[in-house]
Amino acid sequence: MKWRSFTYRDIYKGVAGKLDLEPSKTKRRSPHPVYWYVLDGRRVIRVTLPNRHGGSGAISTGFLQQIKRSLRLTTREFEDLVECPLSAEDYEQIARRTIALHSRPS
Amino acid sequence: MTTFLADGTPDPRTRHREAPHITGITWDVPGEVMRDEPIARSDLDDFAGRVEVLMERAVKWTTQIRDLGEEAYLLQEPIQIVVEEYRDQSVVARFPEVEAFGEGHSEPEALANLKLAILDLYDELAEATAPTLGREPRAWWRVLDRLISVA
Repeated sequence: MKWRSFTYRDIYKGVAGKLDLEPSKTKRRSPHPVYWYVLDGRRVIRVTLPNRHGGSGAISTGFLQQIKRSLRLTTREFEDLVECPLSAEDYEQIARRTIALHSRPS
Repeated sequence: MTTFLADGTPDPRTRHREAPHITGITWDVPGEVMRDEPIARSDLDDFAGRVEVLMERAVKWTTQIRDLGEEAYLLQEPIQIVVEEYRDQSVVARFPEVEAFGEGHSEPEALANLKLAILDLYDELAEATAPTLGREPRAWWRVLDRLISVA
């Protein structure tokens, strides 16, 4: 499937750029940068992206699977997000739906 | 695969287990009656898709971590984690309840990176104020706050 061949550049443009993710400002031990998806002023989804500079580097299947899982997307939705058919507004609807499913009022 | 008995005849226990071989649009089953029923392209595509899904599945197992690798951060109890090994040899160790993961080329490397990720998440959530976090990150903080004590 296509998603397994996504590069750092694809992910950065199609995920961090399109969704306007907010970079974490906390000093980190891990080499990988962390971003937050902000909804209604709250940080709701935390995504770790690979620390691979140069743009065309391949990302391991395991790492891509975690990005997809963090974003709460199916394989098809993840491919659509990175390759453009899925807009930021479409993703917001998915995020609202999945967050509502996973979270119960406390 | 068909095996043969000492006299050279096919072993009846394995003769029928031979995997069918796809030739174009017909199924050719060696030693059996040729089936000339056409196979729809959509069926082949569906089959290929199912093989892809199986190929991307990881081998999974669970293990525990008892120490986070920094003296100042003490684990109150062992953490149950999931390790996944993918076909491209990448290994992911994750703590599903707080969505933390570490990745590497081996299980020890993935575990070491998971520990860094958990420490980073702990520090990040400790700095954050509750109103700025969604429900799930607040739940992660409750889990980590119970699990980790800082000396």
